[in-house]
Amino acid sequence: MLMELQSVSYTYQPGTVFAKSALHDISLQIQENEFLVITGQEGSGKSTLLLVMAGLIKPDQGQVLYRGQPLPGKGIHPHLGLVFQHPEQQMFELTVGQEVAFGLENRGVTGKQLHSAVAGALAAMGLDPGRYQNRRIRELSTGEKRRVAIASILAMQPRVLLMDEPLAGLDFSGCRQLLDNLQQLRRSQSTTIIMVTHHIEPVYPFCTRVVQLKEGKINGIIRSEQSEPAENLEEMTLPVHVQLLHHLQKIKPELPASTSTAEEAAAVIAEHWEIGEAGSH
Amino acid sequence: MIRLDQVSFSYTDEQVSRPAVQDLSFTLEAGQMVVLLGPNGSGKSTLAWLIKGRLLPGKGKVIVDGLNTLDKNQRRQVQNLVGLVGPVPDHQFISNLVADDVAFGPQNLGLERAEINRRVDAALKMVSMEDYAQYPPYLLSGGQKQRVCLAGVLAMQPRYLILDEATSMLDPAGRQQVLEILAKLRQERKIGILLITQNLEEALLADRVAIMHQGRIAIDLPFRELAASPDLLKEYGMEEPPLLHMASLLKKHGLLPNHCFPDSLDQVVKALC
Amino acid sequence: MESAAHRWDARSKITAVVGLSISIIAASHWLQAAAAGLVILILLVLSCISWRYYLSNLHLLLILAAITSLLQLLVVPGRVIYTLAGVTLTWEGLLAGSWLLFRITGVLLLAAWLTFTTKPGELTAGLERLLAPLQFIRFPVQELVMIMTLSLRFLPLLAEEAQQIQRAQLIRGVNWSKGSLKQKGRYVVAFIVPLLRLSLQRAEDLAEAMENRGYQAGITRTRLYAQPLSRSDWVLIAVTGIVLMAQLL
Repeated sequence: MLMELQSVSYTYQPGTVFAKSALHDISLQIQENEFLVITGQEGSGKSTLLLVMAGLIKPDQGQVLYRGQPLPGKGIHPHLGLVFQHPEQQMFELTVGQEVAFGLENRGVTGKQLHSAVAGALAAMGLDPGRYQNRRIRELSTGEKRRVAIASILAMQPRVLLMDEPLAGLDFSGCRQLLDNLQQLRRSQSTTIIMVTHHIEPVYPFCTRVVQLKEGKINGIIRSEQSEPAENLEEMTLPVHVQLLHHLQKIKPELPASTSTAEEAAAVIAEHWEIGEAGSH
Repeated sequence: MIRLDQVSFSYTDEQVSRPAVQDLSFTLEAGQMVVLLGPNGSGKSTLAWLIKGRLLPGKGKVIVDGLNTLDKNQRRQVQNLVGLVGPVPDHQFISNLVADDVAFGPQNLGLERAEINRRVDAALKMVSMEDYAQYPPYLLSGGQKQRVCLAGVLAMQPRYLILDEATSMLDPAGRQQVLEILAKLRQERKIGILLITQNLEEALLADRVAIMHQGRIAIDLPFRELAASPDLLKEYGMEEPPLLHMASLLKKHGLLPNHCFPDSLDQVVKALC
Repeated sequence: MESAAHRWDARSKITAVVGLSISIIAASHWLQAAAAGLVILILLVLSCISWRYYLSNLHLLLILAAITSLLQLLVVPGRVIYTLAGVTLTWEGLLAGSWLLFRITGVLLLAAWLTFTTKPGELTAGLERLLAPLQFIRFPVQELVMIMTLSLRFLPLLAEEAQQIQRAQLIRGVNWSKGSLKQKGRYVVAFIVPLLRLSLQRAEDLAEAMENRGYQAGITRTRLYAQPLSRSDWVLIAVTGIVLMAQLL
């Protein structure tokens, strides 16, 4: 097991009138190379959970383990990389190359090693290093900036990539491209990905599990390919084909609770429907 | 009616001219809702600003209820007729109190104080935020914030409303609430609505769907016609909305009749059973 | 939440806060200071806000005031009360220290009282009307007040952005406690540049939002808060006037 959350709780501004419980008794285990999606309505605590997993805020109760060890008390574990919402707004340098190198330079990496890590990270985000390295950041499009921001985290070679709404504000092709890059990253580097999002439709075929939060608690978990019925899940944050399977399971319990893609869902429904029709005639 | 006649517009940046809108013609009538789709950088926001009179066409003209934005006095009126809501609610608040913020626009119109109070109450009620009048905006959720921003624009009683990716930061529930308000505004107040979005699902409510591509309106069709031709969408880098995609997959398997374009999941379930 | 203090007009409250602050700072006799102090105390009670709330909001500033006063305590020469390890405590020092603490606390409490009992919109509107006479000498009162309103809106935003940049730096391996001076210089630049860029961006967003809702410099805007002064407002102003006059005796 790669990461484990042990009954984690967190309250904002405790002891004041604005005290707001954000997370309540959350336990979760994450396997190596997983693509975990955390979803839920606004205010469900999903962004807070991501900050806790990254070790940027310390839980009031419980703890977060990485490979069996608690996260460091100060700073961030070198194996963890966090991409904030709208990361393109927090760039520190002028050119793409400098920006991607920033984190590694802080670690004291120099010379050839630095150069190849920067090039590798840009390539991993589908940005040709030769073409992009010397370009000015402000001349890039939103989608390109977003990918540069992610590359600047990837350059630090995290084993776990935590991301908060990386798809927000991207158009269809931007979404598609980013998801392809992430999938490639999982395959080639066996990076674990933990993503907070409510853009569930495009992400679902790529992810291994969806954790749904509600009012700071885990409301339910569904694997993208799951046969047994999923309990408790709120429909709104699930993809349409899973919602459909959910409805149809009530009529035909032998249908799976989830398939990875809508295409698979349609195929499996067709299969069962023919059997059903044959049976009733 | 809003009418754009062969409008072109270019941004000039460090002596380089970058065309954003080219030879574009478009209309929006009162009580109509048009959804405008298109990839990042296709010129959607520029179009919004041209209609609002915040940018002026380099070629062609923009006419709103007979008023030309090129004329300085008429432009002032246009700016009050067209309300614009942007993507990030936090960037649109001016005051630290919801009621004061909604009053900001009417204050600029120089209305009587009693009238302002009446409009603030009505606008907050319209977006179901009347209980939060005395809240500071930062205590609200994203969806609530965006509804307050909408109220701030509605209090100016615009005849047209442009939402520039105003739903993009919201979760499904927040988006649903905003869409319901829009439907009400269109029906009850006959407001003409231009909804700029990345989310084709929102097109379900629209009279027409327009797709912008490289500064031009490439497609302007009733939603049904567009939905019936997914290839057209793919051509412009877009995908069918998930519900329709699911429906067309089921059609391929012969599980749904070809003429079925469901509005909700329940319709699909009923059609199947 | 609507206490007597909340109901006063912002104009009379601003007058009272300014008047009483001057009184307490200018007071030369203990009786004068006591009079100002008593009125401040009454105002605080009338706000119906608990002491704890005042303290929790002011504690950092009060600690700062206490440290400043403590320094007075130690550096002012005079009749010695006690000497410990070469540091002497004098009667004069004690007096000067407590005098300073009393004044600073009074002014801080007044400022807190005003902001706790007055909505930001009322406050700026009140200020605008108080300064209105200055318009006759072509002083841009409305613009000034708008700037004030916007700064009130802007500061929390800026604080939020600063925290976000700090976090973003942390995950990119910035460690303020380690590293050479040159590296620290780089960190400072990497903090200030995005913060400046973001605040400029926010300022632009805000200007855009204002123009989108019909704001233009120089237009006549309706005032939101413009009730005539009530009898209790005049009482507050009169009491302030009396305390202020007492300083002249």
